[in-house]
Amino acid sequence: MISTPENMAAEIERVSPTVDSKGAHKSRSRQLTRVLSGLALTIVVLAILRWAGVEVPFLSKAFATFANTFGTFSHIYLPVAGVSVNLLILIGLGFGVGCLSGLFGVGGGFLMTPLLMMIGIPSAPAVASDSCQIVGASSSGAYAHMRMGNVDVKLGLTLLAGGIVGGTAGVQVVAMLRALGNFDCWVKITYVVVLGAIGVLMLRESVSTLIKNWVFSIRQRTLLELVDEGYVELKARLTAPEEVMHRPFRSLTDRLPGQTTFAKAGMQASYIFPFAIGLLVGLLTAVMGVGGGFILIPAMTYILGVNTKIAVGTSLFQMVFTSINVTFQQAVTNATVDAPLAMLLLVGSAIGAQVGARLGRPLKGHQLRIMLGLLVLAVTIKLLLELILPPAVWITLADVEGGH
Amino acid sequence: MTAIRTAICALFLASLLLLVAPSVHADLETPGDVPTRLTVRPVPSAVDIDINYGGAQVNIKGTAPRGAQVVVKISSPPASTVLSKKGRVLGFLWMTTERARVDNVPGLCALYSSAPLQSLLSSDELARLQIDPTFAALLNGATVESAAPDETPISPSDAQAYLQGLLNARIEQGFYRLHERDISIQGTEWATSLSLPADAPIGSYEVTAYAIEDMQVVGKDTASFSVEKSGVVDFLGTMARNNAVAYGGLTIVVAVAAGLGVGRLFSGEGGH
Repeated sequence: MISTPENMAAEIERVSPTVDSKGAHKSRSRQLTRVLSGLALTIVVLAILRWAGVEVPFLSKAFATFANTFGTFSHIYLPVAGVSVNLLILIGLGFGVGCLSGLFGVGGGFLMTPLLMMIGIPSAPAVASDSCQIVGASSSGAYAHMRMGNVDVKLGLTLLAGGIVGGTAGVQVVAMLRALGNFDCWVKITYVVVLGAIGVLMLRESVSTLIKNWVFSIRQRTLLELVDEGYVELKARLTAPEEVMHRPFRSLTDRLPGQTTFAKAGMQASYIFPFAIGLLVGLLTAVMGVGGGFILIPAMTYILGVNTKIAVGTSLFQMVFTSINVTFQQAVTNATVDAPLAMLLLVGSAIGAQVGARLGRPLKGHQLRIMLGLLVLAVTIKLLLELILPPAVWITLADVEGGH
Repeated sequence: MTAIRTAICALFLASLLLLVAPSVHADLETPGDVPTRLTVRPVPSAVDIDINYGGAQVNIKGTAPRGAQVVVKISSPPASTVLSKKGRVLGFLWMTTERARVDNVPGLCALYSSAPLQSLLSSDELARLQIDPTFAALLNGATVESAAPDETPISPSDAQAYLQGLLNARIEQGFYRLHERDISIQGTEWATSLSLPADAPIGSYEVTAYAIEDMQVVGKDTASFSVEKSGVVDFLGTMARNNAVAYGGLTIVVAVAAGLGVGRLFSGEGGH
């Protein structure tokens, strides 16, 4: 490296940052994060409102104005999808969904695909390009989580191995079930039931944790006053941190062969256990056609007893590989991956995922679980309504139906 | 004398030329002698879809006999469309229960006329020319087949329901549209303009013009223009279809690189 004075100064600065510059750096990055977070939340709320079909007069007007202003010069023709769309809308969509994916570790496919279809993209390229977008978003998210020490690589790879076996088997199962008839109907019912159950369980557990913590903190405050009166021993006993979640299935897992330690996840278990969970999730993913994060994170937290943040990071890590696989299959068998569409969504979602991961940092595990639980329930209700309410139009144009 | 004869000859030649290739000077033609033939010409004759394509304007112009009304039909190539039908399952759920493929129906059809169609021709004649205002006649050559894997045959009444559903969907979509009184006629020239939506089907569009006088078709002409992918759009679209493995691999590599790049950028900035 050529040592110009500027270069050397920069090098010194980099190697031994003064307290001052580091502080400034941190506060600047915090500011950036705050601004981006605000933006992210607004976009997410707007997107969810629009997705849920809530017609806010101001909102639809704002959308129309937005589209008119930018539509004239900032649209792009998508070569595979065969439609022209607004650049900023695409990037904004990516950002909002990326934020969710960074926050919860869910792929966001369940949200992105309907949103894309709403802006006029046919479902087949929407599904395929979204999986390509998830490749980028999950790599970005997994990278961020890895740096924060939230990824258990060993656990992730074990889950992945199970997922691949389960997914492959699942495709065969689907072919078999389809031959029996009325398959799609049962898939949808199972999907709604599973999602609903997961949502309800998560909410119940996380809300009760929230209440317990709240009561605990009140008790703690009372005890601080007790100390002054000399009850030191009592205080020590009562303020000892409670074990938040005991590890379930302990006796079963301890008896399985192939015991190993998952260091990051802080658990000792047999390889077979996470492999089996990966297998089950892979099977469900293939049958129900929905991304693994949704089922994987609750499975990791409630069945494996992994801390939520580690579960999110690890889920993102294994999602990198599963989404690569799906994208490749889509590109080769259906030729429906639209590269410009995926890249534009990616620009938004990769940044959104970073913001999401940061947004999650000050949050406690149970707070994350409350939000994810609400989200899961919202999706369930939407799906349920779609199934139960009579359709406005009986016969519709169907482009090839996608996976989700 | 010679000069006058030359002038007359020139005029005659010019009007002959005008008949072959109509131009802006059509008004020069003396009425009564040779009535102007009906002609139609789309401009541009090729619409290129590149990365910044967001729909296009195609001007349709031509000449028509003086006093005649003009009807223009613009349709995309016949294609097949898959339709899905919702039904009740287990008594309380609504979901797609049947799928059907309709073949030989244009994806886009725009009808332009200088006067309301019903006033120009009888309903039978409109239907025969497939220019009826309800677009129902467009589906005359259509075939309906089941798109389900087991290929259960579709009854005629179901087929009719599917065709009606397709028609409604296309009209709702704005792909079948009727523009009555939307052709301006000046002397022997007429013009109109089609705004092609960005997601219009690709291929060679057929433009058919009819000149109508006293409930009779007195002239017909056809022309075509193409809507084709070009540039980056063509390159990527072709690669996605013909070179799927390379395309998929490349897309994934770029996606991972972009994801990691943004991740790096942010963690460098964040300084945690």
